[in-house]
Amino acid sequence: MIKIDGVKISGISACVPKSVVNNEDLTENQKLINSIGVKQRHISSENQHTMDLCVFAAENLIKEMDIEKNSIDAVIFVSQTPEYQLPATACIIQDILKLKNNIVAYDVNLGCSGYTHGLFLASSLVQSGFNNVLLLVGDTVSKIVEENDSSSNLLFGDAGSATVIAQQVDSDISFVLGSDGSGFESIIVDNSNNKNTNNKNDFLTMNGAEVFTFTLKRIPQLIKDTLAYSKLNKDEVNHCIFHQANLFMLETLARSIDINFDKFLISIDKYGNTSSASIPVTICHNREKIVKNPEKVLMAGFGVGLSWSTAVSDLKGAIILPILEV
Amino acid sequence: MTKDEILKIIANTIEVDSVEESLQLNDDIWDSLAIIIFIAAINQDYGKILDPEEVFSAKTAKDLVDMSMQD
Repeated sequence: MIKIDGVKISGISACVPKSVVNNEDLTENQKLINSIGVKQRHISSENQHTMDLCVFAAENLIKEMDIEKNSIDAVIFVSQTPEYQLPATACIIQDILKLKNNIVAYDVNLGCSGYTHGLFLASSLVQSGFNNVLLLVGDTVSKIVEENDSSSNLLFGDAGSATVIAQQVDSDISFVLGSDGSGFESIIVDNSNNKNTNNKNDFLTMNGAEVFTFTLKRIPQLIKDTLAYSKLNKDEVNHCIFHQANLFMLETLARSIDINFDKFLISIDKYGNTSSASIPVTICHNREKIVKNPEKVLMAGFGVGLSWSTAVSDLKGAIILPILEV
Repeated sequence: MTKDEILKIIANTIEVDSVEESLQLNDDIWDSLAIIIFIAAINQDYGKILDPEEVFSAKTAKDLVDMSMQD
């Protein structure tokens, strides 16, 4: 648990592919569609990658915030679908966005918990003296889902996002973070270029029941710890912006932590589970609700790793852009 | 927690009026979604988190009753 003083989220944007897939066109299993809560998803074209979506989101945000590019001291790219195994996609983005050379640029390999972990890293850099930090978070999981995988092929959508974290006196963000690698096989692409394995698989495999029980065991306590550390009563929280794992899981969590589901902001119906981007996508999709009531926002990411993290922040004054389609 | 309560949860999970302990959990009714719904219902009603591997391996409704009622 850590509170980082003197930082704020000053802008958020998200970008999705134009192409929309309706789940009712793929299955007649209405019970499954209702349970996961995904009616449609935006799916990237063959030549459209996570980096492209994040760059569009970043260009849009930099323009709308009217930020001097020279004031961006770091770019962090959080994704499990980077351009290459090496080099880091953040370095490529530095060049595409024409950011200065004396910049910190690196990638972080995290998914469901990636946005809140990324906020923690960006906030730490700002607290250490950096000016604006550009956090780019996204995934194109549709590219690593096997077509006939019934547990995944109706769930995931593609998206990228950009967030600017900046210095702000009298503002802070509180974090609770953790990992448990004993469950690493629960969500995995078992295709390592550096390790001999007899089960090489280029596609994502997910043990939904294992991930579900991990969530039940870990996340209610995580939320209790977060609220206690932030000295917040659960009734004081204005918005719960959780990783959009699936609708059934979100409803189950809301019951388990006894927070009214009306406080849970949702994007999974229109965008699916957008992996690391699901929190910023949900923020941008619900921007009008957040702008009306921007204080005491509880964000929670949890999943692949297994890992988890929460962030409690005010979004007062933050520029939140509508979702861009490209 | 009683046997009848667990059987009712199983029935709700697979969307039928009632089930007997002898019910065979074949792939048609006991899929990954049913497993998650059952685990969630037991957790909500009794605060217990079942082992998903055990729930997946259950052959009959009685297996589910036994593991749910186990201390």
